[in-house]
Amino acid sequence: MKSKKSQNLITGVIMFLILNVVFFSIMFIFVGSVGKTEGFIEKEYSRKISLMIDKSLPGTEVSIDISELYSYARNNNYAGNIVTMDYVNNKVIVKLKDGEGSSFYYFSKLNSGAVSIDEKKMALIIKTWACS
Amino acid sequence: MGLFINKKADEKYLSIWMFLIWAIIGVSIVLGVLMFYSVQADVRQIEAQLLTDRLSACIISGFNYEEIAKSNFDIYTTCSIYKNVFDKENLYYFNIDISEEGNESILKTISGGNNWKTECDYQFIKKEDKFPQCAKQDSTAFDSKTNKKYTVSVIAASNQK
Repeated sequence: MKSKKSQNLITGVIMFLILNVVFFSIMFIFVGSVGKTEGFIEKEYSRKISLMIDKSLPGTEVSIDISELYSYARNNNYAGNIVTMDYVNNKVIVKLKDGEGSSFYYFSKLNSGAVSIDEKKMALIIKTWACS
Repeated sequence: MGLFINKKADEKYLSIWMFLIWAIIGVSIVLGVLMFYSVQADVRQIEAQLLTDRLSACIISGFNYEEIAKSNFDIYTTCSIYKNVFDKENLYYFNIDISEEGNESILKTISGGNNWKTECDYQFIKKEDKFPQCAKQDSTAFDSKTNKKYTVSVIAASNQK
């Protein structure tokens, strides 16, 4: 009787420890992965590119490494445009999978073609100049 | 089942309370992480500062009051900023105030929504996340034609989330 009771106690402790480990592992994985989801990456880059455009002084050329975007798009089998510039509405659209992606406005006036992608270097090139 | 129905307090390793505690911890961590990332994605303050810098630098460089005071002076073209995002999208706001040093305001240019100025004034006293984020810059400009000094005060705000 006593042996069964102590066996139950040991099983309880083991179960408790296992469940704790499982729970905290799930939490760690969640915390580590949530910032690396496509949604967050799309958001991060659309903001980053817009801010770079607005920060660039006329006559500057800025290059942003977007190799991370390429690897996400490849993992999702996405072959469309990763970064799209909407020069009419002043919007940067970043997409890493089929869907709407993430868009962000910038306030600077840009000539069409001011932003281009160097596919070999996996870089986004922003060339700004004063518009008249 | 025996695991969950222990009669003695010292044996209760897996009780309903334990699961409740895990649930509370889990929900708190999830909320905390999501809040952390949403704050990181909020770049309104940086945008407001960039707009303030752009407008101040653009007005001060080669400052000519006569030119700025003309009715056909176009701040958007001069400073290379896009009018539509101010008027149509209502995402940004700016207020430019030019005054002769020590005197009252002689020129005001306002763009964007109506309540922003009040909300910005409030923001400068107490930070409020639900309001647009604002930045302010006061600079001195020198008009070489008239040999006069002017104070250029720029307030800009962003509400793009």
